[in-house]
Amino acid sequence: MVIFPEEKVGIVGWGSYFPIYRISMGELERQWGFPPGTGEGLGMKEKAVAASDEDAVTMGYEAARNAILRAEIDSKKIGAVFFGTESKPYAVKPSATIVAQALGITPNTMASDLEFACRAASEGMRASIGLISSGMIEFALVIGSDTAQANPGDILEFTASSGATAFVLGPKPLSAAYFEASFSYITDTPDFWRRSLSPYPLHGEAFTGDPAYFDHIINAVRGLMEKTGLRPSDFDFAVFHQPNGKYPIKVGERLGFTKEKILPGLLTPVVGNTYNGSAFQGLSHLLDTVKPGTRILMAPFGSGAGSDAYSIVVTDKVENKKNLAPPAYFYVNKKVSISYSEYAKFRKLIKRIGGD
Amino acid sequence: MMERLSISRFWRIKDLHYTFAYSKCKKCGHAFYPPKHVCPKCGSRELELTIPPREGELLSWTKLYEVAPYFENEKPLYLGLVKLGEVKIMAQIVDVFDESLLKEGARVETVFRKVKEDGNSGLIYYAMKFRLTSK
Ligand SMILES: [Zn+2]
Repeated sequence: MVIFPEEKVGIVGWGSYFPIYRISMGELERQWGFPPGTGEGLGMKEKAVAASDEDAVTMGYEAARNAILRAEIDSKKIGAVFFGTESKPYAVKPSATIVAQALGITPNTMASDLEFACRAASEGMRASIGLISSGMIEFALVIGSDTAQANPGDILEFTASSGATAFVLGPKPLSAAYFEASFSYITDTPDFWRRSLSPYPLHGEAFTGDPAYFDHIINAVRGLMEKTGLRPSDFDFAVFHQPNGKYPIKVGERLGFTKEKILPGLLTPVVGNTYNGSAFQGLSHLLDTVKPGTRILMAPFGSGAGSDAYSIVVTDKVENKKNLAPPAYFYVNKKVSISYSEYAKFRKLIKRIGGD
Repeated sequence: MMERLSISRFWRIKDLHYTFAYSKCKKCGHAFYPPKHVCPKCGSRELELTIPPREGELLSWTKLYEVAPYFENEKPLYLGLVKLGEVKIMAQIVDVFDESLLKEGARVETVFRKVKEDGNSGLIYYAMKFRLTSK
């Protein structure tokens, strides 16, 4: 196989975070009069809900802190912080600077928030690979974090959840997993959007499935395969953007990946779609659990629309790093069930005088 | 409703809010939070800003039902006095779902959260709080 520039770069540290609160599918069905089993039909059990004092910044901080713990580097060595989110607390004022300051990365670093629906953080990942492989910087911090919004009562509310995953990228020799190659596929597609002052997104019904999610992921993955000569059988696991529990399995089938290769990295049924952290959370969990030598395909997707496919190979450095921070499933298992009214209070869906 | 907290005051001490950084006296060794310019024990001005460990021990706690208007979403509000390395720090305890776990000597860890939003259009203030460490 040809050696691509990506191969100089790898994942030095990884970390995830999910809030402790969960709302069940039954609770959402009862609240809005959906037939029982609606959530199950989406492959969902429950979704994570951020508390009143949490947002994309605080969750991104905790995921990043875990990633830096595993990276075992002085945070001052990080030369770029890319914060991928579609629920940034400020419309103008970067989330990346707050996290960079709180983690001791400032001031000699690049830092910015990226927006591309659920794939902004993946853009940060590809940009970081370029910056590191060129020698411009040594380490980059890439964060995908969202308190995903959904119009109350919309079917989207069954999946849109809260959580974050972060990666410290750096030189291959220090990495728990390295990139073999990557490939992007982008078009202008009206599948999902939110106007600047609108609190909730809208989705173009006919566009969400085939022309958006499936078309872009399939083209990105096929592009990667063509570029590298790899085939589905060369990969041990595949992680796709996971907007629900069903789509990743379907897109895998179409590409020739068995369910067995997809289910281990599928966390959406138990935490929901964390948007920018969605495909990332699957990779993070796989790094917590798999053995050196494992080859993973990751393909995040973002509406609007685009997908990136990465071929990632796990190294023997993964073993020592696993115990340096809590694994993703530590947060998955640490949970408390809440009612729709508590959910509404936490997500500020209740209008009160002085409640702004 | 926007109150306009002192933006400059928060900005000057943001690292204290973001890390619980405390003062340590180079002369007598006294460690205290929040940091000051003069050691309250020996009067020395030779102080060092130090970042405490992430994990500590709960010394005592209280539960508030009467809170400032902004914190109404978080009622009841738990406040804990925590020994974090060599300093004692009082701050909110979050994610309390089983009060019986809040015992003297319980392990707690720092967590980065929002403390206040200045209305819909003002600044958002972030700071360290505590939560129980569960392993
Ligand atoms: Zn002193």
